[in-house]
Amino acid sequence: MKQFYTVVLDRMTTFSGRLDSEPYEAGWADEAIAFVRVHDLKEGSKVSFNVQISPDGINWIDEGTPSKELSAAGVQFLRVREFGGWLRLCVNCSGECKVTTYLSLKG
Amino acid sequence: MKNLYGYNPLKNIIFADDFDEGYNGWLTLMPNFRQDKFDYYDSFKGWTSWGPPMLSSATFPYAGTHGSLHGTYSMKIATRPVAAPAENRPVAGSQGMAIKRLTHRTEGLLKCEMWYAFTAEQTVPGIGEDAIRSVSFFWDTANGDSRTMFGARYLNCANGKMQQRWQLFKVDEDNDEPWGFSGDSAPGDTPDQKVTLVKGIDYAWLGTRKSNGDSNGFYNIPDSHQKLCYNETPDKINWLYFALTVDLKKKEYVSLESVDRKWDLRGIKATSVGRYPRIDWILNPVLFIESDTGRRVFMYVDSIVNSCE
Repeated sequence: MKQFYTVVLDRMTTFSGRLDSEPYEAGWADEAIAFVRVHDLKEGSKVSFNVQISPDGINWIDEGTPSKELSAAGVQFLRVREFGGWLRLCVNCSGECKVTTYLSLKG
Repeated sequence: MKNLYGYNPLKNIIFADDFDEGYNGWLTLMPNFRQDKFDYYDSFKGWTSWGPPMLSSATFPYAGTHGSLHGTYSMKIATRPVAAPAENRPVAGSQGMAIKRLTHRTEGLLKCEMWYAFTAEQTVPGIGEDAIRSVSFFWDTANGDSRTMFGARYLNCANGKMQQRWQLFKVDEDNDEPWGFSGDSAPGDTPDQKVTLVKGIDYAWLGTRKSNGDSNGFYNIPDSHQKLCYNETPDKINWLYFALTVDLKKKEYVSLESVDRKWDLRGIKATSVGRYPRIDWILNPVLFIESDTGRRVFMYVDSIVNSCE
């Protein structure tokens, strides 16, 4: 059977501006889904997120999959494949929000 | 785990985890949830961001992939790039924590062995040896009427000063400084029962701490200074052997083995406290690493074996 693992990157975290997750190694996985769950979001604010990849967990570049957006509490996701050894999630919020973020990995 | 070469387990193997075969049930340690809403107790809110485990190929910026002792993957536990002074309690994210949860069936000898390494993130010049405060293994154990945490901590560096000595989880009974927990910690057996963390529980982030890395919960093993191999750059990792043996019946330590050293710990009692609701007969092995500076530090565990007899 394939391996599967969901890691919570940031747990019920309140922020404004930009939240980069900690680097996460996932070289064993063939595919990943990045989930962002917005618990609270100030009216009129928006949350967007994208995934970055890295050769070494230190230097980062956008993976290229178009970013996703939320304008209310809820869950959104994006899929990535062929991402090498590392992933991190970059979340931007135009106001203040509370999020829980995940990587669901399979391979 | 297909082979136990490199290991010397007791008669009955409880688990033998090689991280080339997956996570084997290890996950991050997180606080208990309140029962009345989806939130944490106020007293736990600094403890929700311990670094989670990941399957690592130990890949470095200039060296490439190091791999593991028995293959490609080890379990890496990472801190965030943050630390509090050694005389303070650990701040959010300054430790990486991995736990596995099971229960045990007998109360004889219990042994943990592992092959592990540690290093600092290669983001700034310097080998980073002094970026790592400690690495540790412990068990959270219980039977039907008591709870006991047994653990060994390699205190590597405190406030920039190398220490390189071994400590056990054991409360200093002559010290009356605070343990540092207030409030509720968990649901009780009944809704009105209050559960709190008393002295002897959760050594990793409680206790009154000193600038040299000591605390009223860490017992310094005599003659335990040991320079563990930390190679000449942070991208050279050498796998280290560790073994801790304890006696669950007598609630005492038996021995600690580290690379070429072995300490006889017989007669050193662990600190045992009263029963905690709901966790009868737990056997939770836990691994953690702690940073001493604002630089990420990593513990790699190639494989880990727990055995008993």
